[in-house]
Amino acid sequence: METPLIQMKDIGMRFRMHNEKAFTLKETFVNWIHRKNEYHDLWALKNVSFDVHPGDAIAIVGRNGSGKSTLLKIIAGVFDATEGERLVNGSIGALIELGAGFNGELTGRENVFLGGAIMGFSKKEMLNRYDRIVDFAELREFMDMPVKNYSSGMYARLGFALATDVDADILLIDEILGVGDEGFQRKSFARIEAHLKAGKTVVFVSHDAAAVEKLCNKAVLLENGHIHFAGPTHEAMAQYHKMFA
Amino acid sequence: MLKRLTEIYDYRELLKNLVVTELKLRYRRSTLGMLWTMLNPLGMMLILTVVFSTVMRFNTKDYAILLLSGLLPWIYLSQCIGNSLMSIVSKGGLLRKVYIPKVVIPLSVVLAGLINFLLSFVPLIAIMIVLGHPMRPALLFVPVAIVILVLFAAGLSLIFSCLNVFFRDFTHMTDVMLQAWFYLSPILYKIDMLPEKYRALFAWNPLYFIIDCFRAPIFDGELPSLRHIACAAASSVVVAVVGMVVFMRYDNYFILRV
Repeated sequence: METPLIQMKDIGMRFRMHNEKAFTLKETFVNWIHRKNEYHDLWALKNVSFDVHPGDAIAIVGRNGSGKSTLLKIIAGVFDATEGERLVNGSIGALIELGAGFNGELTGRENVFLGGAIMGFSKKEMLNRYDRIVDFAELREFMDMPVKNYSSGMYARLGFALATDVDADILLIDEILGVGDEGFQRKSFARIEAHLKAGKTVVFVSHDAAAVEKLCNKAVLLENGHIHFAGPTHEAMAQYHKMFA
Repeated sequence: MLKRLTEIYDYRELLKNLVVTELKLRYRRSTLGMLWTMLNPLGMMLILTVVFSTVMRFNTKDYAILLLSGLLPWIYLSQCIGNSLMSIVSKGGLLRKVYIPKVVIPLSVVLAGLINFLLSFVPLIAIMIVLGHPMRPALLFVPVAIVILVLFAAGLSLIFSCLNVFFRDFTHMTDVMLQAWFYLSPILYKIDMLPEKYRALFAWNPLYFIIDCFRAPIFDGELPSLRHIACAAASSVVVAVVGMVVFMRYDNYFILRV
């Protein structure tokens, strides 16, 4: 058996919820004087383990607040897990929020290069991709406009085109396939499928049952930060639907 | 630790982009653009020179050069600290969505400032020519002084940007601290203008040695003393290393506080 691309071993993520969080030195000092340091711990994830193999398309499903996005952010490296081990053997393209690195004052064109740099691409590599990204986003005539003047749809389309143009081994997607009109949505979907066909891997967080069943071969069902079920998509989805029955 | 350092190199393209963005945004929509970098110290120097040579009747010849040789490094240092303070917090939206090595954020502030700093040498040289101030070979030492100052500024920027994530009132405290530091450092004056008994105190201020690395070659036309070079370089290296260690020790927690 080949080595997994992603290994999550006993991942736990604790958020310390301070009742009165000190954001200044003064507050820290006052709280310390009053011996006031009340907090409760919230374990957003606990004992989460699973492997992702090359070519897998894994859905992470669950109710609101079950820890899906936290898990995705741990895979992406945004959060550092409180406990457990995260092993990743491949490059990651994270689509957690579209246009996350965009600067409103910069033009679309400048943002494409900035966004590329955030993902670790050189200017030369981005020049090769630039036309393809702009065509996919259908924003050719708006590229010299500051993105703060974009509509939210334009903003998201450019973000999607940029983020999915990468050759990452693993694509992490958080609820973002609902971007744009129907035509653009179909195009986006086709792009993810093409990525899978090329033998790449996708980890997909969504509430959209149809999209999950169409794209993913496996699913992890989270409930209160624990893995409730992990296995074939249709079984996971059946259990998921049962939660709301 | 070593892995974290090579990571900065891997993300050099991002660092470059952040620097360019910072510079672009600063001058976008201003007609004179980059010229401001040169006009700012020029204006400041004009005001201070008039104040100190006519009102206070300082009798130092070429006070303008004396002043500028201390003022330009100071402006760079204080801008680095001031701009890096909010740098991490203001990039919070980005940090919550993608992984990037956080250290590139304050470093981009330091490097963007460096470009401005280097440009401000243009008016300095112009003024030296106009005033007929002698230019000696000792000026070749200035690039070394710049390296020392950049290390010092980078270390402090790392520490302050990190502190401000956890304690937001550092922004206000820093303003006051910088004011005090400005007057306690020999920027507007040379220490031999002061009574003898105070001079020894400057040995505690690393900025005194760093400024001397600029002032000796630019104003006096001679190399700074070996002792001053050593003190300046040593304090810069210490500050840079401490800054790096502190920053990397805590940058995993930033995400929970921005």
